[in-house]
Amino acid sequence: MSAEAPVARSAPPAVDSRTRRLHASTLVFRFLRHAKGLILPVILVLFFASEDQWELWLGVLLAPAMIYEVYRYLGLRYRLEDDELVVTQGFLFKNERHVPLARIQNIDSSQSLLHRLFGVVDVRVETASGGEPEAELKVLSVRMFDEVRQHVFAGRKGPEAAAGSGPGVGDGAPADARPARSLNRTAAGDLLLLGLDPGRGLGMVFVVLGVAWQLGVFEGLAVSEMVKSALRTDGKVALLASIALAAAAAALVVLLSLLATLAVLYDFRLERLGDEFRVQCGLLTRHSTTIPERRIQFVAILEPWLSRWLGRATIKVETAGGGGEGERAPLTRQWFVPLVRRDALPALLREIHPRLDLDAAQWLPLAPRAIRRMRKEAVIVAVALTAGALLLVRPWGGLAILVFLPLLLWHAHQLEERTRYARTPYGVVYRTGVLTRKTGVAFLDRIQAVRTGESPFDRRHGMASLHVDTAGAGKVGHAIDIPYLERDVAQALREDLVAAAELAPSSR
Amino acid sequence: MFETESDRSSERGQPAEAVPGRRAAIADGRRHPLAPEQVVADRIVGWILTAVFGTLALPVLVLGWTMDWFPAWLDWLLGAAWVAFVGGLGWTSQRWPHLEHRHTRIRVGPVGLDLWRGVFWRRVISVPRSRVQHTDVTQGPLQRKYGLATLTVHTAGTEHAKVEVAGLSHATALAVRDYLLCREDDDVG
Repeated sequence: MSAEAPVARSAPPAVDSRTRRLHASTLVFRFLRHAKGLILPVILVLFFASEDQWELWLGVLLAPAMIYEVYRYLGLRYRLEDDELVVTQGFLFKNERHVPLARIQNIDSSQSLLHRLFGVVDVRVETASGGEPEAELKVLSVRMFDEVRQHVFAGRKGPEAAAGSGPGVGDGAPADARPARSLNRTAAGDLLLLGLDPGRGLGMVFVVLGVAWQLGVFEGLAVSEMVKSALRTDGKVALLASIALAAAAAALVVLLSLLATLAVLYDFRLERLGDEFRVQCGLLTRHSTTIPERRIQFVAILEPWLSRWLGRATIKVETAGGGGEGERAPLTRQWFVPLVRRDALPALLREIHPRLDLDAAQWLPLAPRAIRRMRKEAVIVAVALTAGALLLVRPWGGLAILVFLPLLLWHAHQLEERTRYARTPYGVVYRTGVLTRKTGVAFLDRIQAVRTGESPFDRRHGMASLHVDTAGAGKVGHAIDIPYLERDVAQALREDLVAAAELAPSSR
Repeated sequence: MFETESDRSSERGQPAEAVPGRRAAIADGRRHPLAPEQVVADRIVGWILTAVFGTLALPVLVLGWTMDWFPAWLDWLLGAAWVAFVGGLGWTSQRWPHLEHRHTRIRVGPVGLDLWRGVFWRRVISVPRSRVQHTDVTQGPLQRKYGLATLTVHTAGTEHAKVEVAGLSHATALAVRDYLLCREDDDVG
């Protein structure tokens, strides 16, 4: 019944525009999805239905969904034409969607362990329209996926090759015939380093711990018994036990964070193919996505202190349009390079934009009087924190000022020294941060709006802040948001950036 | 449409762009205040809100007084609070639109749209003309009465995905919209 099998066997290199169905295992995956959604009702059924009835109830719950799925599966067909992907759906109400290949921005795929068992791929076809993916082909066989991808890329490269954009564009040959250039393969050791970053995956770790607690895993490990018995004995033992427990919990958090990072980013590969970047990663579930160069809106280079100490940096990029804003955004999309040696950084940045060279930028400091304001703020925060400490521990809490004040003043000075910006031929760059150093790059042709702001404090000091807005901003934890600029400097920079942005072609 | 100095001077030194009348009048690359009628419209909204909130608070006061819920001093205090509240609200309704109007400027030119706004926190938002995705011109009932409109400029940005200018005269709003969207007739030189 699947029209796919014979095609897969003969595998003609030229695209045939035969109508096809999804891989038959689609039904298995849809079934599992419904089963997952029905876990709660199923539990209820198991509790309340009498012994011999539960199969019946399960059938009642699942059967309609599965009938619908079979109906859907039989009704969903797709075919590749010369310049479009056509997806038809339904029997009674027929829906035929034509997606022009030239408009397809992205073909994302992910492959879980189960997918791999069946040799199939979860495919999302995205265009620039934003919102939902244009077509979801769940699931295709790997071979069919390759064929679809090849055809889409081959169809796309045509006009662009004629326009002469991008280095090494093939001459009429299918795009995949050209070798992809490997840009980065993040080593497992580097991923471990990334996993050590306590900010990452912490939320997930807490969820896991919470679930484990709920399921009584800890009871099973007799941890609580240990604690209880320890508490019943004398105070010192109890203290030691709780310290050990805390250490164990911390170790567990780190371990889980490591594992989560490894699972998601294992065998990370970044390749370049024409004017696209291809990202692949994942241990169990393998993700793959393409990032067209023209869709990169903002580049952030992040250096947490541990990575920086080891001479490594992270590059994240923001892309816009296409499906998957927010939660559904493919995770691979923003991890452009999880971790790269600092000396390899310039070459990678040049791949993103040929003129992007951070060392050549003429970095400018904040307003001369910025440090005075930052110092003042540090003092205010230190006093507030000390007041809090004083309320908690009287009167010795007051000594906290001896810690807070030097620390915050040091931080203010460091921050002032590290905060620099530069107007470059391609846009504007901004770097800040003491512990985690962040550098952001906004390109002229992606700048959507520029804002200067003057708070009452700014006005008293003749200062202003500058914010550069790009599409899809804020997802990578850094943005061009420069405080404490001289007012005239900020206003001039805004006018300059907007004028330059207006002249820069915005098609990308 | 604009009875302002900048407008008159702009008409004098206009011929830079050979675009007919009303379009050129606004797209002259100068700062213009919004229509003064918006102050009136905003004040009316403020008065209505003052009246609504004042009336809502009144029953508690009156009931407290007649039913002897509170001690006398609290009655007086509540009465004073009510007067202060309504007075403050009324004063703000009267004063704030004027202040806001005074600090709001719009500039439309070949580069794009700039908007000055904010009384205490002052901001200038600049949108390059080529980044305007689409625009809306909307009119509420009060705005319709005074011939006003709200111009909304949509960009592909995040924080400024939507830039709203409330209080242009309807004709100006349409002119700005036409100017921002029609890029063929007088493109950036």
